[in-house]
Amino acid sequence: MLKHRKVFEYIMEAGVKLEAKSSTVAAAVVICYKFLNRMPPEESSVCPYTIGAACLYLAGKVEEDMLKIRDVTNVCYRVINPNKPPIEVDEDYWNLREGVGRLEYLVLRTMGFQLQLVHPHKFLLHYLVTLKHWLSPSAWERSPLAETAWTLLRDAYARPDWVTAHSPQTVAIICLNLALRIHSVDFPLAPEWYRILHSEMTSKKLITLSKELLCKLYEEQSADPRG
Amino acid sequence: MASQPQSLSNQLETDQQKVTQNLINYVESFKFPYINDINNYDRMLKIGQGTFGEVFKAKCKKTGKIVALKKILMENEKEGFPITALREIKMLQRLKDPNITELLEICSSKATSYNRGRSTFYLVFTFCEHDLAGLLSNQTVKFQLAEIKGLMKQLFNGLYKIHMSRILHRDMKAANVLISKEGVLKLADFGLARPLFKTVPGQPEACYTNRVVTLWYRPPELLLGERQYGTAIDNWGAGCIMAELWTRSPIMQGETEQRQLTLISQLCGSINPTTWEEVEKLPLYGKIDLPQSLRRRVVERLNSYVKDAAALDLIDNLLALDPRKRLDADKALDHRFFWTDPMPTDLKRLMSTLQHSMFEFTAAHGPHKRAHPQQATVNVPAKVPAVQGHMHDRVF
Repeated sequence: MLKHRKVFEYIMEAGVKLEAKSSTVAAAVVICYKFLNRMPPEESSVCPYTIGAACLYLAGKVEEDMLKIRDVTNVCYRVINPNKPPIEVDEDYWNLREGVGRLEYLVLRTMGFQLQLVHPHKFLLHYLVTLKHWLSPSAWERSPLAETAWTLLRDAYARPDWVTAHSPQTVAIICLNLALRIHSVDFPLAPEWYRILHSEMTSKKLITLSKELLCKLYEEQSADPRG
Repeated sequence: MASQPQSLSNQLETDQQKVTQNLINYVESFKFPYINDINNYDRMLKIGQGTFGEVFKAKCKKTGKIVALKKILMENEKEGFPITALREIKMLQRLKDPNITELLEICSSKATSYNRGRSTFYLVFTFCEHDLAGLLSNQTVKFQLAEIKGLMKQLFNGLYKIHMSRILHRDMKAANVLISKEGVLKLADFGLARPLFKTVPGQPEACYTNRVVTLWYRPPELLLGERQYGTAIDNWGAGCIMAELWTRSPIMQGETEQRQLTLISQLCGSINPTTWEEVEKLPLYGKIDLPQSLRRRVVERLNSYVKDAAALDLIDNLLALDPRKRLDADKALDHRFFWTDPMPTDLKRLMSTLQHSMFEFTAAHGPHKRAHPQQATVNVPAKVPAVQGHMHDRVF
């Protein structure tokens, strides 16, 4: 299993509970993944979950989706400790909150302020709008294509290693392909729809990468006893 | 796919989340391989001071390269790294253009107990010898028409790049227009800039603060409380700067918002729904005094300074009251001003006549020194600036 996968899933859950934009959650996971990769292995004294909270807070700023540090602190604490009562505003709370703020600096410096991320979201949106025009209104209404593709893309961030290994266009096409397969939607007049949308995509790559994403995302999880 | 947070709780020791002495020591001794230390540079001279913080001229110890260091002001430590600085960094990384200041890197000082474990961050820019406000306040610097055209062409090229990248500069003024010793114009200071919001149909439109742009360069729609403005706000400033190339001092030097609107009306004509469609919908329309039955006199009042008809026409179109009618950077570049003789030229001749660095901040005198325009600020209530002495250089 991917190291720190639980941290990424926790960021995603906290992000959704904070009602952050999809691109904010995506940015938080990618920043966190890159940060943890850059950390020398012997440097493990900092809690990756607090790092995750700091990445979420930073991503809010990067994506112009300002999250309040108080909300980030509270929600992250709650996600980590679902069985404990909400955190009291006491010394521990202020320590935790300050820790999030300070670790944000650590993340920024370790990243060398390189925070220009291009997310697959806008490509997926663009592709979906294009496909909508290819389908009859009834065919479009019949299956929640957009919702499925969007959910797949959101889930894909549990594997930031996979997402960052491919271009944002590729990631968007793969999520779209899986959604089309799930709802058995075909384009008889444009069997190579993926090549029309993204010229670098081939049928071989489409099949391999779609399989790869599914395996990385879900098989590992079902192998987990908590599944 | 839902994650299972329950299992996480046991793995976490609560003291791992606290700011312990451990964490402070850890951050202090942490070596950042991806970011350089500010000690790589030798500070030479302070060259700027504003709401944004301090700017220094400095020399790289290794390469000898001269740079400008802009210190990031850490106002609200509780909120982490300032979002305004983060925006500035992000936008500068996006805006790579010959006519925009070049961000070389970001440096930090070492966190020690001396600065309470907090490092200071600096933006490192390629150094520019002059700024336009400094050059204009020096009477020995004389611009030829072809050079003015060359300057304005570069200014609009920079502005075009900014606006095409869906960014608003929000602080256009002569002091933010830098000129390198090679004569290349560079738009600077993205401390107030921000990305343009996308408008989503059916969603309430996003609002910006209207407390931006230094008062003398602030367009009428901002003064009337508009919060859904666009790139046209920067083109008003470009018009003010262009006129200033002839008048040598800012053309409208109001002390208050009210006074600035009066000055604008006296130059550009009365503001009312006839001269500016739908102006009555702006928040402060009717709440602020707008002198009526004034003629538009831009060309008439500027032609004693500006002898070129094409230049007057371009300024007139940049200082349009209605932001929808104001010329944008793209259209300005197509204006006949840039395509009639004398054609735009580079500034090599002019630059060779300059011996010293001319910055508004270091220049001892000049109109920009004598009066203090209301700086563009965010979240700071307007203050009436103390007017020192008489405004000898006020044009209107």
